[in-house]
Formats: sequence, structure tokens, C-alpha cells
Amino acid sequence: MERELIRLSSDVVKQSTVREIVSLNTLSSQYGLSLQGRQAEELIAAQRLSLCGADRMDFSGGIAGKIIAGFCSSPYLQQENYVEALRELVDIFYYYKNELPSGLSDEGLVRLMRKLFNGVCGGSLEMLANGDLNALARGLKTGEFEPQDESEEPDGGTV
Amino acid sequence: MEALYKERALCRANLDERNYLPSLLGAALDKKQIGEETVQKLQGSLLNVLAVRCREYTGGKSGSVRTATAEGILQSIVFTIGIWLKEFDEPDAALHALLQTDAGEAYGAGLQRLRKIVRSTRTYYELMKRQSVYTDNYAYNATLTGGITGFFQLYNPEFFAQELHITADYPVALFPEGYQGIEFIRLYLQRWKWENSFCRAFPSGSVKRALTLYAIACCDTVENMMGNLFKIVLSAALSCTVSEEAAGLEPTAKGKAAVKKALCGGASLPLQPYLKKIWEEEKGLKDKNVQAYAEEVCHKKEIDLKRNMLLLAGCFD
Repeated sequence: MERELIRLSSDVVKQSTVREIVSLNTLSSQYGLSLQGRQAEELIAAQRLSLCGADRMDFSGGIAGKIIAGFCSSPYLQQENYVEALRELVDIFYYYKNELPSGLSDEGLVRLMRKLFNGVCGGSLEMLANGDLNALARGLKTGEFEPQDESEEPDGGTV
Repeated sequence: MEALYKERALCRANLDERNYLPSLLGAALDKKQIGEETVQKLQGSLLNVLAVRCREYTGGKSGSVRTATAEGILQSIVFTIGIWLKEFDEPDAALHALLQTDAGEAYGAGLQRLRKIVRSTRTYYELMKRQSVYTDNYAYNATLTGGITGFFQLYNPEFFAQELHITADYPVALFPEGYQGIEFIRLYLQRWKWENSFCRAFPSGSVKRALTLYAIACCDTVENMMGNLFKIVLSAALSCTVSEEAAGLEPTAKGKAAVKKALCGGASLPLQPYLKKIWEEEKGLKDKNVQAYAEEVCHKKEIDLKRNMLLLAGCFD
């Protein structure tokens, strides 16, 4: 039987460290949001599961940090639901990543998600997760959705 | 000491050329030249190269890729490093270089070599196209023009060097089974060119008649036939030699009877001596590569050739 000497392994793929995630408290605490070390661990573990579920591999440490930076200014996030919301957002991100045109950057997608979340979804993660992806893909193609455009953001958050 | 050295030395003939890097590592492990920890270390280095390649693949826009894409890029890296390792005649030297060289550099050297191979194969293809056989066969013509051109348009040595993109519908007599990417195409074209050289040594009218006769015997048309044309022409040439009538591709009725008798007599008829006769009689067939290839085909496809010879002799009328 042929031995598989060289194989793809998610074990060696770089993941964000707890320290990196917790260090983002400096930014998020301005909006009354923060994560404990254990919560950061949970978020990293959830990110690993989301990647696995979306059948993707992340070589940059994952999207959790960018999600925190992008969403912490949202008026819809509260400390009580913060970890849960971040876990959901990470999951939705990788789902969108598979379904939307591959030319969309990570930063662009986070901006787009924030725009939808703060806008038409009115802070509903369920609505964000069940958004009409076809319409979104069409909108991205025609320029109806401009993830780069920060001027329309009511909260002016940055990623 | 020398005996021990010989026992541990790696032998190129025992390595799988289609899967060179894993094969080299497997052999080195078996001969205890390296341990599992060395393989694990190399695996880690390859995954670092993969991370860099994936970032380049997304143009730095995305930190993640689909697992299937990552797998494809990893296979491409392994294939490309294998191309570099094959530059070393001795596998021991290749192993030494692999262990002494940074994986990223090894990949870069392989990619450079790969680009050169692509360029030279493209030139070879242009040459080969000019020396093709004139035929109505659709699979032959469509693969030669559309298929191979499509390969060069789609081939992406940077990220998916192991991929083929095309189905290579025309079956050469000895299909380069298991080879990947440009290595497959190179071997495929080389064998096809040798087959063409053989066919072109005979008058085109004779080739056309042999193919038509064969197609009729198979209740098919030359245009629609899906088989290998060279094997038919070779079978026709062998038939003429077996019947001891004349060189060429068209045995007489008497010659066909001689072929039937020789092949249906019960005793196994070795084809190699008749092939040698073809080399003696056909002045245009002096290329040693063509001769060696035809001999290999005779050895590996003997049953097919004999079946063709019987068909051409009208045995199944």
C-alpha cells in the first residue's frame, strides 16, 4: 500500500493566538466590549470548526481578529452576546467566502457584512446568515453593494 | 563498508518517476537514510511554502482558500520539487540536495525548470504538428489541434503544475499512465511523434487504405474510429512481413492467407523478428527511438497487434 508521506494537515496551519485576540480588547473596550482569555480560546476553537465546516484552510491566522476589529463598533453588539455573536459572524464569514465571488477580499467581505448587519439586517445575525446570496453576488457585480465605501456607514467603524 | 554503502544506496530505477518526491522519501526511509522526523520536518517546510503560495494565489486578498484548492496547490509544490530533484541523475544526490536546501528555494528551482520544460515542449509540439499523419480521423485531428493547444492555454505551472486540463482523447499506443501535467504531455507528444514517424515512412495512400480496410472490418469509419492509428499501420506492416511477400502495408490475398495460417496455427508467433525485417526493408525507418518504441509496443500490445493483423487479413469476414 502506498504511504502518504506528504499530506495536508490543518494541525500545522497557523491559528490566531489567545494573546492576539485578547489584545484587540484595547480597540473593542472603547465600545464596552471585551473578551476573557477563555472566551478567546472558545472563539479560536469555533473558528477552527467553522473553517472545517466550510471546507476551507486559513493560512493567515483566521478571520476572528478582523471580525472583532470590524464589528466592535456596531451598535447591535452587547457584552452579553459578544462571544456568541463573534462565533456566528466567523461562521457566516466563511459561508459567504465560499458562496460569493472569489475576487472579494477578506477586508471587503467584513465591510460588506458589517454594512448589511448594521443596515438592512438591523443587527439580526439570522437575517445576515440567511441573506439572499444571489442578490448579493449580483449586487457586487453591478456595484450596488460597495464594500469599500465607508461613507455610508452610520457608525463609521474601520476594519 | 562498501557493501553497506551499496545496500543503502538508492536506485533510480526503483523510484516512481510519476510521483518522484514521495517515492524518493519512501525509498530513503526504507533504506534508513532518513527517519520519520526528517519527513515530518520536510512536511512542515512544505506547508510553509503552501501558505506562501496560497497567499499569492489569492493575490493577498484572502487568508483562506478552499481545502481542495490548498490540496491542489500542495500537489503542485510536490510535483514541482520532484521536477527539480529529477535533474540529479543519482537519487542519493537528489536526497542530499533536498535535505540541504530550503523548501522554498527547492520549489523555486523546480518552477524555473518547469517553465523551461513548458517552453521546449511547446516548441516540440509545433514541430510535431508539422509532421503529423494526413488522416480524416476526428480524435486524431481534434486532439492534435484543439486538445493540445487547449492544454498550453490552460496550463498553470505556478499553482497547478500537476494538472492536465484536457482529456487527451487520442490514445497513443503506450499511454503515459499516471504521469501528470507537463510531464504527461511531453511523453504523450514524444510517443505520438514516434508513431507519426513510423506511419509517414509509408506512402500516405497505403496508410489511408490500411486504415480504411481496418475501419470497414470493425464496421466503423476512419473518421469516427477511436483507436490508435499507429497500431493499425504497424499491424499492416507486420502482416506484409509475415506473409513474406513485399514490404509495405498491403498484403495480397495469398499474403493474407499466410497471415491467417501463421496466427491461427496454434503456435505462438513472436513479432519481434518481423519487426526487425521492417527495419531492414523500410529505408525511412532508421530512427532508433522509433524502433525502440515500436519494439516496446510489439512487446506490450502483442495481442492487440495480432488481432489487428487478423482483422486486416479478413479473418472475421
